[in-house]
Amino acid sequence: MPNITMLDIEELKKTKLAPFLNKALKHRAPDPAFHAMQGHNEELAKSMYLAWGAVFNAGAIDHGLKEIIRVQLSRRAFCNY
Amino acid sequence: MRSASAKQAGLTEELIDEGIDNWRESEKFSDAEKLALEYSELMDSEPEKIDEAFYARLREHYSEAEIVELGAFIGFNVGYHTFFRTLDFYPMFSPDGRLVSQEESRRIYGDSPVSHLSGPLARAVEDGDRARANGA
Repeated sequence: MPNITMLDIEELKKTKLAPFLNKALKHRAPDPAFHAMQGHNEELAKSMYLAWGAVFNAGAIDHGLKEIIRVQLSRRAFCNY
Repeated sequence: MRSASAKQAGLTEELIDEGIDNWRESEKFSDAEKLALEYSELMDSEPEKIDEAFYARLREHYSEAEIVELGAFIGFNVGYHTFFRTLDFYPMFSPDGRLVSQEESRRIYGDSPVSHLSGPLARAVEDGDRARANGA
């Protein structure tokens, strides 16, 4: 069982996180658990999602290379993803 | 679950595994890409080795704006994956793109992260086929 309660996705869709959650669901990244865990603090979840999107989805570095790095770091941290 | 846009651009699980397990010897990555993967590994485990000489190597392939982008992305993900590991949850997306329960996700992904090609993807597809057969 997770060490912090995972919030229900359908309930999160009723909050101010809805547009960010829907975008994550469409783009398959980040995993919706990003919002299900951090949604306990909506303002923080929103800010972190926007920052995460800025470094992951924008910029000059190839997006596919970033995705490889993302998986590389998750495995090194023993974080399933 | 992988980024949809990365997959649409041609990223495969095979290439992801190559980039993690065999980037040094691989012919599938440019010198610039290999250096980015090395940067990431070192940032995670041996940041003291990322010194002036290493940044000089980075500047041979990347502008300083790109180095900042890469470094921020790596630092962000080192932190996030470390934090998320301690929370002990499993992805809500299965490797085949279904939203699944924590119980199913744990069964699909296993105790520790491995290549999706080493079991998780096959287990997810099997579960999906079974669910469809049962009318779910």
